Amino acid sequence: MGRIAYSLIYSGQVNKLAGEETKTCLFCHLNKKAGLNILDTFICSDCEKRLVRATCDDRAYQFYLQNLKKFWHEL
Amino acid sequence: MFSLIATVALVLRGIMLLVSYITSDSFPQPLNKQEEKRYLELLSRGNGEARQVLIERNLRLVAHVVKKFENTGESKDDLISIGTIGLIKAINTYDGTKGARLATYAAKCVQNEILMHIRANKKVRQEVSISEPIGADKDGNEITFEDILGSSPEIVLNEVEIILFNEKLKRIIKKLKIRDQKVLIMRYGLEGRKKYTQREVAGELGISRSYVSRIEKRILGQIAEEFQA
Repeated sequence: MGRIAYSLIYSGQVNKLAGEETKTCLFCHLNKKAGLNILDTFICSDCEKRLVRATCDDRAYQFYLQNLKKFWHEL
Repeated sequence: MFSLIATVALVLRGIMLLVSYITSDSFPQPLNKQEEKRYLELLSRGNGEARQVLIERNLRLVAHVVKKFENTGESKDDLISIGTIGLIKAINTYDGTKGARLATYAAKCVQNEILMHIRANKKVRQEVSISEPIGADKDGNEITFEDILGSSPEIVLNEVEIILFNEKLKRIIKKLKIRDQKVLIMRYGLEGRKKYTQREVAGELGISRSYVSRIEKRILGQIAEEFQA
């Protein structure tokens, strides 16, 4: 059990900080509480807002794209 | 040879991924009408979980729309990821009161996102670097576009740089206040006009010479900053 919990925390999927469950965002890699869980992949609210505003001319768009590719590959 | 094998492997991987997304049982099934209605109601009340479910259960739609763009030469991985961005945007902006079904609206958003990407890529493809090789001479030396332009590469490059510099300067000047633009044009005789002294500019604009000097200094700083940006 301990090993499983450790591997989950180590893989960044689930983190317990001060008793609150947080997850690591696919884009910013920060541990946050609020956001989207799409098929076990977490996108924090802040990144989601930025993503919705981004257009393909933005530099950040390529960054989002590369990370989303990882998401599809890990399915 | 290795690069060819790598390219073929990448294309095959993309196709296999797409097929596995749609056929795999673990991939979420689309919502039925009642479920969709319930989650849309929750979404309209700002429920985060509903947003999540609606995105997850419409991922198949992305794969479906992507199939339309199979022959555009874009990588499947890219298309699926771009489509996912389109879907997230669709769920965030969907307004049920406007009458369109969610699937129709989301499919349109996914499609638009992909089209925007293809259009942006086309624009980049049309740009040709003057240093790009376009062939080889009889000794096998590479010939670049700048070699056949008729002037030495340095001169061509300088002229291109000056043109780009001018265009950028014009754009920056256009953004300045009208009075600042006047000061700049009169002081430096831009666009082939006569140059004026600070005193003459001051007389023309009805302000003091020292004020013209301050404006001039400020504008030059502003332009230098914009150029570095």
